[in-house]
Amino acid sequence: MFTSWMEEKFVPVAAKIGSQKHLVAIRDAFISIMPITMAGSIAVLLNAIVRDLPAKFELNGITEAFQWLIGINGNVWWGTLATLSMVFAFAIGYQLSKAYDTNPLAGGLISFASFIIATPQSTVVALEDGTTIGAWGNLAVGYLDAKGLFTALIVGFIATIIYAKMMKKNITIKLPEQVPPAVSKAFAAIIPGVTAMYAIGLITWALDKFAGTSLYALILEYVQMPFLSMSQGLGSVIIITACVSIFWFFGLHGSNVLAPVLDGIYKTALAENTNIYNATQSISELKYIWTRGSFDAYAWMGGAGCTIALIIAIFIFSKREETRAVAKLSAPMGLFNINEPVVFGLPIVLNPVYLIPWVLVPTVLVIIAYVATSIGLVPPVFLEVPWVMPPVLYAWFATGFSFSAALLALFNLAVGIAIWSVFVIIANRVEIKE
Amino acid sequence: MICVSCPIKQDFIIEQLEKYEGEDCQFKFVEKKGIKMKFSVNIEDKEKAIAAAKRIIKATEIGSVLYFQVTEE
Repeated sequence: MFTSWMEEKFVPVAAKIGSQKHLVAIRDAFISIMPITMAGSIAVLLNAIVRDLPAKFELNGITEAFQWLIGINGNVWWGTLATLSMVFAFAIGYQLSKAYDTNPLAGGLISFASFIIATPQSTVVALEDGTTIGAWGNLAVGYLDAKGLFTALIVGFIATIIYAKMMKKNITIKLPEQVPPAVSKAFAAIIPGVTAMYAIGLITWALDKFAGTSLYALILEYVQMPFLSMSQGLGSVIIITACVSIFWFFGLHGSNVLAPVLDGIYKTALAENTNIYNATQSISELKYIWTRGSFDAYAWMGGAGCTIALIIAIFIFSKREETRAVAKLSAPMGLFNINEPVVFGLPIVLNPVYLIPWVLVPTVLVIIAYVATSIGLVPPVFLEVPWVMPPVLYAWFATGFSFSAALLALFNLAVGIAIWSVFVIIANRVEIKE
Repeated sequence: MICVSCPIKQDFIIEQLEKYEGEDCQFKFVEKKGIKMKFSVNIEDKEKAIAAAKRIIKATEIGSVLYFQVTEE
């Protein structure tokens, strides 16, 4: 009966959110830039190994020997995380155009150009004598890194939607059929593309002329910063964690439904932290205590619900042969954070015995990790790590080889095992009807 | 035989797979037991059938947010 209610009332709403084309475009845009953010994170991570770590132990010889690698890493960082918003501007235009069933390449390029149009062109340059001068014709890295992500998102949205709507209404230049498709596609995009870019150009100019500010500054101050500040509260972290668990429990893809928040906000915080670390080489300077990787590092070990802890608890306490068999089959994949075998094998979904720990375990773990991070016991997560990285190692890598972070992940794992164990023991006594 | 595990929208999943008329694979609903739905398929290559089932479900609006698993029986 409850399942029927869920199907009638809850699933359609969640499905609407999860399949809303603008939200899907945001999610897919963040997913598509993963190779870029990963390359940037690897560059920062490698520099942490050959530059920052040896410096702590005064092993300057190592840093000297790896100057060539530090140089390469610097170049990679420049083309990835330092200019991430440009990459994202293209990705959001591409994905949104695809969602509107229009030419995605043209949409990506128009979005990219629109972002550059909205980016301030003047910077202040400090001279050797201490004076400063204004210089025109520069794209400052401060506008192009993760701080510009929301500007790229909003500008990309406006420009691409103008482009896509005009394409849909056929406000285009039409060429004869004999013209090659690549040429006719490019021509078709001219009127919508010019309109979209001029619209952004007009907004940018008007803000500069009449308000003395930039679109970038407005979005950063009134959209990006408030969202990021809100995301950093313990309450927000708990709500997100609990919602993801509840969605999974009822058979909905929790991370997909909440991807616009998880990726749009917490991934932005992660990229900002990476850039701050790269600039300062100091974890004390990191701005955000909770980022996208924090969930995976400390709460979703083995997958949502910290199921690696459940598998271990089953090995220790379960007396049910079929449950132990599922745990045995699920363990190898659980080490790489793939938990479908255990979630569907036991099953956990819609299983009342496991509802409480499924929600409780990750919630408790994020509280522990949040407190530990905020009081400085562990550094905030500042490096992107592939989601298949095994638990504990994930925390170690994501914090630039922090042993305290790895220990915290181990501690959380023990807490997770303790809580799951109670319910595994209860499950020993309960005849679970499929 | 393949098995689709999903706690919700089971009738929807059955309908989607049974009405699929692609050349690569055909699905026939066999039985439902708890969260598991079993389907017989007309091809030997079960991996191909599993991939097709995933693709068909994910292609729907609701399927894109459903949490489900497809395995060989």
